Amino acid sequence: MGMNLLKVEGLACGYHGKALLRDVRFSLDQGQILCILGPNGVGKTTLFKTILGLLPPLGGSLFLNGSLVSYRSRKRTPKGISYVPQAHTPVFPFTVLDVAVMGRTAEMRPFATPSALDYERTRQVLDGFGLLHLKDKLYTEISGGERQLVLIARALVQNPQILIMDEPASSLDLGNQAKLLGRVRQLSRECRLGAIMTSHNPNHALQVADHVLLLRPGGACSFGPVDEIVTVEALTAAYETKLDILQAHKENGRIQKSIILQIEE
Amino acid sequence: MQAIKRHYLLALAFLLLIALFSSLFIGRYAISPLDVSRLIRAQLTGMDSGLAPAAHTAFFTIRLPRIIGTVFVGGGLAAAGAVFQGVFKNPMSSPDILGSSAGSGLGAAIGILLAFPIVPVQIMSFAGGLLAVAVTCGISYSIERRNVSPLTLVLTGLVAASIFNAGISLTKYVADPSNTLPAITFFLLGTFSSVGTGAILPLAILITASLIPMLLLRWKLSVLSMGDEEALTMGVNSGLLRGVMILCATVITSTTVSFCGIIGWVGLVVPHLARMIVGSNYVKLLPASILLGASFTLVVDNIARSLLSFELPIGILTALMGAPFFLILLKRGKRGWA
Repeated sequence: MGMNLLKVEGLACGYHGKALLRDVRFSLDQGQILCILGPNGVGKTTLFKTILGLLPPLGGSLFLNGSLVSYRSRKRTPKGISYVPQAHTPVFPFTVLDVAVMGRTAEMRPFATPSALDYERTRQVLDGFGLLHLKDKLYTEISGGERQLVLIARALVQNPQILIMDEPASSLDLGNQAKLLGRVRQLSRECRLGAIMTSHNPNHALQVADHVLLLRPGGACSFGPVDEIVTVEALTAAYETKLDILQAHKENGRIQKSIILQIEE
Repeated sequence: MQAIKRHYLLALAFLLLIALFSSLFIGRYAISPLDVSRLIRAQLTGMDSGLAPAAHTAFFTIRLPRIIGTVFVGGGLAAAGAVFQGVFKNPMSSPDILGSSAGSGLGAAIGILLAFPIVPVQIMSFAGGLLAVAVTCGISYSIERRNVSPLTLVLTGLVAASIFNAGISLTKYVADPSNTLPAITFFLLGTFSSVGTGAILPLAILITASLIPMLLLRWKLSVLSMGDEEALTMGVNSGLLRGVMILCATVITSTTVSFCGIIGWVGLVVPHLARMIVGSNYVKLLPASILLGASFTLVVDNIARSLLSFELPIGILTALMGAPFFLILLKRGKRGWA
């Protein structure tokens, strides 16, 4: 059992004083992956923004490494948390190295530009992540899968304890989904990072997550180990659609569950 | 890679030096390179240059101030354009996107209509630019409260610019067509002919003071151009940075309009050209834009004052040259806005 990184108790979050989510509670330990599931518009992004300090919490408390985080009026992401947005195409073509070195910004002096040391540390992270060959390519010209990996590398440059990922696999093809989820698992197992990710596909949770936070329409939520939360009843209620869970016996003797949708004839 | 890009900056600085040097000899009053060296030596040592006093006047009170003014205005407008393109994440942004040129134009037009002397007209013009941007920011803030988005600012800027432009039209309509109307029209066309010795100091101070924060914060501008929320999670105070950049860019545009009228296209085209040469990172892009903007404006002004037997307003020339140039960039820009 790893050290506790993040503990959320009774958190309420939403915009303009109106709570979209109430009484959210979960915890994240070192080396664990938490997958947040829930239908569109249920408040996954709102929850992320609150944890990242971009939106003031409307109630409850967050503990980072056991100490209470105080969110002031100034928007600031707590140290130790890095955000991985959905891969996007920015307007201007930065090189991959320039995008990744942005992760050093918080450590730099107010008027500084990235130093040779900043670039060197960024190159090391890219190298460790197998992306060094892309460093001089334009970020706007690499593939969507590569862009998502570069954004994770940028978050790693920030030297975080916790990675918060917004739909990291949603726009990727099957092969890139597998590659990305593999990388996330590797980071949590080998680098002892805590990872929180949202997904539209509960299969992602079944394949890599340790815990699941399931958000239901109306603001209720349940948190627990994957097998306890990802059940036919709970998913049917959350997504308001019929589905089945199949079990496949893998060669190593483990059982892998998989969600199958029921499409009405 | 880093080494090559550093040399690009050196090359651009060298280009500016050449443009500066050649500008010294171009103009209505022919002064040869030898005469220029004589004039400068005479000025430094206090000895007689052996040239006509008219040469001295043409060089030191007309040509030199104009060249210095052109460098500051060109560099400043290009920097303001580059900054706005990043701050608004919009490659079509020009320095006057929040309405500062229209506001400055209206301030000047009213000043001329009321037959004020040149200095109050310039002060009104400067204040008009600041006022227009304050109106834009104020309306945006009242629409969106805490989270003003770049798009709202740009759209509100369009509205403000059109209101202030209507004000300019109204001022022209009521102006005396025999003297006031041509004065307003000519002022708004944009020319460096009005930049004399007295203009250099305020122009240089205001523009330099605005360029310093831009240059100091240029790395954070790169981060901000990825998006407000991403920048916030990487430790950049997006709202404050945008505010500071809007203030600095507005001071630059208002200053240039109040001294030289409206000079379009420099702030839009030059940053794109600079981006093609040194890339998108503001650490290199901003200095490159300043150097290139100064060179470009100098060259265009040299053409404006020597192409025809009378001087062309530079605003006309920058539009004539900038617009097709921009189309070429568009066509070549296969890599997004590279």
